[in-house]
Amino acid sequence: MSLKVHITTEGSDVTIAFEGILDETSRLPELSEPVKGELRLDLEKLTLINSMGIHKWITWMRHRTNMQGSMVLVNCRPVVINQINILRGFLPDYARVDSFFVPYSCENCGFDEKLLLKRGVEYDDQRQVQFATEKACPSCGGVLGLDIMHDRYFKFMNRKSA
Amino acid sequence: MRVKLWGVRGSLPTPLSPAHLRERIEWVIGEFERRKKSWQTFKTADFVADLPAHVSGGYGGNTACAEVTHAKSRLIIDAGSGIRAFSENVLTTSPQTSEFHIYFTHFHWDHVIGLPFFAPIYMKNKIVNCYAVHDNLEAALRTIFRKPNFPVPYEVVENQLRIHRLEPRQPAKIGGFTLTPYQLDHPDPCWGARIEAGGKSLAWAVDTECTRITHEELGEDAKLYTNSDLLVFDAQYSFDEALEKINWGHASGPIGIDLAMRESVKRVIFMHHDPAASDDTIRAAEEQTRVYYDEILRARKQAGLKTPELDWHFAHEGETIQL
Ligand SMILES: [Zn+2]
Ligand SMILES: [Zn+2]
Ligand SMILES: [Zn+2]
Repeated sequence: MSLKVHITTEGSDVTIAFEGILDETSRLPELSEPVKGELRLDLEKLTLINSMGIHKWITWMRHRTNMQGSMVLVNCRPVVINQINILRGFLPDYARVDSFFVPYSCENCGFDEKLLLKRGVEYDDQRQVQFATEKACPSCGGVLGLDIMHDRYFKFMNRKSA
Repeated sequence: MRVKLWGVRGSLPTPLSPAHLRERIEWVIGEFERRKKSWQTFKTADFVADLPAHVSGGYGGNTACAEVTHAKSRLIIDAGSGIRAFSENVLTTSPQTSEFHIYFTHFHWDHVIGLPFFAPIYMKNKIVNCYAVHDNLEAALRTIFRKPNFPVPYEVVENQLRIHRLEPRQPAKIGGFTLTPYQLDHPDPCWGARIEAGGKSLAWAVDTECTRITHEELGEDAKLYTNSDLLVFDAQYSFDEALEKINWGHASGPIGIDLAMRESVKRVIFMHHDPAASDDTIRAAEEQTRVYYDEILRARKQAGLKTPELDWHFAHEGETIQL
């Protein structure tokens, strides 16, 4: 599945929503005008990112986005957070993550779901994250636990830009 | 087919410095003391065998040189500083060998600097065939043997050398091998090669940045990679360093992993390690590639895509790969 891009403008802010796979074949959008306000990159529907895609992404961020205002990544799925943690370039120093998902799963019945953590709500600039790491499984009543390696998953928050 | 790597370092020969050696000895002794206490029966040999490869041996400091053998045929790729040890070895183990074949990918110093130390070029009873795609192959070789950079003039070795120009992307027979040169993404330019023999194929792609990143952008040069049994690829930098070093002509582990998965390569060896990188730094780049590889397999599975498992590692000088 190739990459689909949806652009919406609200005043001086621009949101680009990405859907599908970000790889070497992806076409990233050219913006006709510089973004004067906030550029929001919505990554909720990105299903896969490979290193060649990140290479393209970083070049695009540097040259094509015509940045004047700020840049934020929102609705980052675990595939995105994992790659941010492994290959730093995906999140350049001038961008920050404003919301991301943490996955939960139930060892008992296999039920899984994701919770969206938002800057200013569950975490802040001091890198403090507050949210329930366990809850009741809505399917079997067992324990729904975090389906990540905690330290590794939140590693990106220690970065200047995160 | 068998591939022996005599040199895996990039750009400049990089010997282990006395200070690094000392640091390493201290670390190993500390580790020895620490583990000795916890083991019931402690054997020094087990301890040594258990040390990480980058500590016990290091990745190696000699620049690019590989020996490819199949049945009675032997082909050398590049004459970096690693060729000196090969020279010594071949003259001891098979002194009767009268003819050699060297394929030059390009003439950057790290790929030719060992040639004056390849002893057969001075022996009247030997023939050394030199192959390259470049028009200026002979001129490039003459440059190496020019005063005041080297005391022995080209004329002394000229009789032993045979110059062969290869056509780009056209298969050539060299001994029992079929070698087809394909262009890499590297300045001045650099030609990798697909080397085939006995039903096995080696894709040599060292000194490449992979700036033509899609299969389509590679065009005819994609044939270098597709379905190869072994890809030897450039990983001079970590992924993050490579992003800073655009147009420096070198790549990183994760890029090689993606390329190999897409082109159905079976095995990958990464080399051309940065001379500025310590063994620990190279180890960290290898580890980053490992984590990336695990994650991309996991993510592909989740996305319902094929999960082509690859056998890969970062090259150590002196290792042999059997295909
Ligand atoms: Zn459950
Ligand atoms: Zn080189
Ligand atoms: Zn080079």
